Amino acid sequence: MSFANVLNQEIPKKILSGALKKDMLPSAYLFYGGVGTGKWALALEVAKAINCENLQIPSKAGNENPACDQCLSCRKIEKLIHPDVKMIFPIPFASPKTQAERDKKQEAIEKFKKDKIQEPYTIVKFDKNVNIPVDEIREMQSKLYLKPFEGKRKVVIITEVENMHPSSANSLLKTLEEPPKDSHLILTSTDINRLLPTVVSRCQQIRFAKIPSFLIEKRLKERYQIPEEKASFYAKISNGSLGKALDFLQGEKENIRQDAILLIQTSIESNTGKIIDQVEKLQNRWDKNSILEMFEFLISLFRDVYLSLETFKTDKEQLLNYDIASEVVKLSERFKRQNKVEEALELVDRIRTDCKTKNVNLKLALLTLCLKLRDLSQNKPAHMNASASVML
Amino acid sequence: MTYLVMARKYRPQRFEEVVGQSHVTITLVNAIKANRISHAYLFAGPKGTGKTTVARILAKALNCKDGPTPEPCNQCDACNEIAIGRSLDVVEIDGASNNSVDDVRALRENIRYVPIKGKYKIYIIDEVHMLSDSAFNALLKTLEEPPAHAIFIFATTEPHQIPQTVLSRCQRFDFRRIPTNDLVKTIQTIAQKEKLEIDQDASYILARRADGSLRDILSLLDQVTAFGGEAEMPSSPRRVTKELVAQTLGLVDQEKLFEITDAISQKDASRGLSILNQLIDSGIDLPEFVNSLLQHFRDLLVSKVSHDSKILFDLSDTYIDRYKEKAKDFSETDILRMIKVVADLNLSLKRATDPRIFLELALMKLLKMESTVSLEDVLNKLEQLQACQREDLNLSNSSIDSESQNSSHKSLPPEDSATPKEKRGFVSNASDDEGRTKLNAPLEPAEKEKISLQGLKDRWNEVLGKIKKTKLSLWSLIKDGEIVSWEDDIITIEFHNGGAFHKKQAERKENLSLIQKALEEIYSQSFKLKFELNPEKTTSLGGQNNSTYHKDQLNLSEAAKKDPLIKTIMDTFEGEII
Repeated sequence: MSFANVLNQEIPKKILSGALKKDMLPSAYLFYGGVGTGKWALALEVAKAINCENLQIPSKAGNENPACDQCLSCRKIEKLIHPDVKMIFPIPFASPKTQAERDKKQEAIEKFKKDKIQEPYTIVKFDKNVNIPVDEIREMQSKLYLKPFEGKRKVVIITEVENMHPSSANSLLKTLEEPPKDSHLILTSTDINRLLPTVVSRCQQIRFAKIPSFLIEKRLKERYQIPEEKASFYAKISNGSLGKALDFLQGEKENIRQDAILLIQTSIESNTGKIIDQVEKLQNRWDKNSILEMFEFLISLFRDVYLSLETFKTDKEQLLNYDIASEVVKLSERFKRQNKVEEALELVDRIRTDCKTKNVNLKLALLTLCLKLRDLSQNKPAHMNASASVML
Repeated sequence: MTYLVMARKYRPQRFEEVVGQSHVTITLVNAIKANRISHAYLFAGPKGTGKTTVARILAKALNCKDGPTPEPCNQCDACNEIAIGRSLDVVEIDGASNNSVDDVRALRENIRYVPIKGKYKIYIIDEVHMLSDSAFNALLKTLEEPPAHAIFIFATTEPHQIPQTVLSRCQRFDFRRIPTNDLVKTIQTIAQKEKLEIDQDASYILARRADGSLRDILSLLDQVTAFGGEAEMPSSPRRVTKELVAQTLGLVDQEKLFEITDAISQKDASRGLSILNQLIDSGIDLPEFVNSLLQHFRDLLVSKVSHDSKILFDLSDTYIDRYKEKAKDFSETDILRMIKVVADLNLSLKRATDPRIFLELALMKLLKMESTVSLEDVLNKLEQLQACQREDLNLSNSSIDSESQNSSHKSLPPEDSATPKEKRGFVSNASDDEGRTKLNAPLEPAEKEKISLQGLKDRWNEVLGKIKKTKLSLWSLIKDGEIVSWEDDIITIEFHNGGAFHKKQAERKENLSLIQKALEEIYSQSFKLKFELNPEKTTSLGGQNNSTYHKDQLNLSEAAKKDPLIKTIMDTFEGEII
């Protein structure tokens, strides 16, 4: 692995290699951008470059590979066992109370590391709410003042900082601003708007763009031997995120998508009884994360419907779900008008956000969604305020 | 040694180096000069405005070897120790990490001991808003009457989270966001020290992005210099140009904004989408893109309404001309609506997980925008048609219910607004009335002989307007009538077939006198009235005026059938063309 193995992200790479070359690496970085765009992968590369035993400083600031990937340090970092490179990531049971929970926490840490070592782009998912453990942050802060064990400098990578409790984020402020010498912090976040402005201001912010789909396609073909057609479809539907594209390889995601399509078909065509049955089935089959993904598919589907209503085109260039273009056409005939589709889109987006951030009864949320979609497709006004009843 | 970011390297060490907070520094300097040092200060303000910096300078000023002095020497042991954070008399506490009661209790224990070297024992508590409630309360007594040698300096970004009891015990200083010009000046000087050459344009872009925070702008400068700015020769200064900044921060080229505007004015959805996708693939910063689009539309609007191009933001003359040219494609209301859409987008982007989809939707809305204006006209017309129809319905049902009349008039604003004009006898061009009110010049009473049948017909609307003002129900009755003849001061008004009811009502005495009065007021002449029924006229809409109206309506529906937009409207309202 080296910088070259991080897809796209030319600007971040150039900033980072420039900083490495000029030896002006700031003490705190904040990598932000969409999920699965390579923040973790690049953070790991930076950690390697900082500690590499035979660092090849690129002659010109470019996309050369600063780290050698051969030395002990590089290999240790790649296996996430380097003592001076600390990773903190959100996990369930962040503050365990019983021994069972402590075991589960440990299990979660192992799983995260294993998945990330295998493929840095993996989106590691847990079926419980995740959090950044406060005690890990405290421990990190106290250890940061010690000298590095074997590397040159200490590196701390904290991923998805938006999952950090405000109090631990606040306690990070002083460390971020003036960390002990020879230490670097790299924070990554998918949602910079949810961070404390004081945290953001203390870091050098590096934005990660979406990965163009042809690059994802190429990577899938080369590294995972995915046949051309499938690879190109996965690349397109995952909308600029290699992480999401890789998720498709697990098989589950495709089933989730099928069910999402089934869900919308049921809700616009069937009576209430059938809808309830369908929701029941889905709820039994999928966990919360999968249902959230289902919502994402619905959003992309409605986007396609909207655009096809607008441009009267259903070609591969334009659609995300081009494999089911006929379905898109059917839906656009059903909804007829852009503002209804837009309403539907906003509805799905809001229910998705509610499910993600609040404690919502998933079954009720799904049911509300279906019934409202049905109303919208029959051109009845859907009263948005009813979603309040979903809240528990 | 790790690289020291510019924000730390150039942290001000003296009061006069602090940027943009003169109201704080002058007060503090004067307080020191007058030897009126408070025992507790609270520094509040947004991020990166200098709270911690001023707290440290104040600590130095107080503990410097010839202190308290408004001008710390930065050379004595005390100053140096404070600068590197090793002083035993200046304790800097991270309020967020040490926020419990126990921490405060420990502090209270230690505060009793006199300072070791300096004159004061200074406690700087940063992020003080994170202290727990009980920690704050434990501090209250100490804060009110600390030992003579103790001074507290609190710094926070969120003063509203601090209890009132604490606030009232401190001298509070509010730090302001640093003005753009000050930011620009500061980075110009710092760039010089760093052997960088930074363009005026580049520094303004950075300053706007930094949003009043000095730390942010320096961190951006760090980033930009890491990205590029190679020196041509090792000795010459490295250059930071506008292009370099734009590239690093993922800003959108002005050209692309014009391209998108073109696509919008030409309503070319696929082209707009492809430009957008290109931009997204090239890795632009989406929120920043939305901001610059907003700015772009704003400039478009300004160049449309104003001739003073100076109001336009830092644009070269060629761009101003281009804006003026481009602005011709849109009306002011169009641009205002476009601005509204983009401004709304700004909000929804913050929530959305996939900003791209919302951006696409907004672009589609923008593409539809201009037609929305004409759509509104069409809607108005449709509404008028409907209102008319409703009136006819009312009449044929013989229900002269004034309430329903009123309601149908409410949906007819153009007519209402036109009536007062008619009454005053002005030339009304009320074009939105479909030429129903083609009026002549104001009447001159002396010309009564000249009034011809045609003239009478032409001014009939004025009469109608008058009647409408006085008695609405009567107006609705006789407006369907048509003047057919005028002989010996007798005006014959004919109703079409089925107007028997209208005739009967109009012939009632009080109604007759009303009409006569109205005629008299308009023509300054008295008339007699005769009503007749004409069985041959079978069209539901009688009267000359109405028949032209009818013709218009036919034309309209002809045109409407061809227009895909109207098709959409018809779908929307499940309506049909009448």
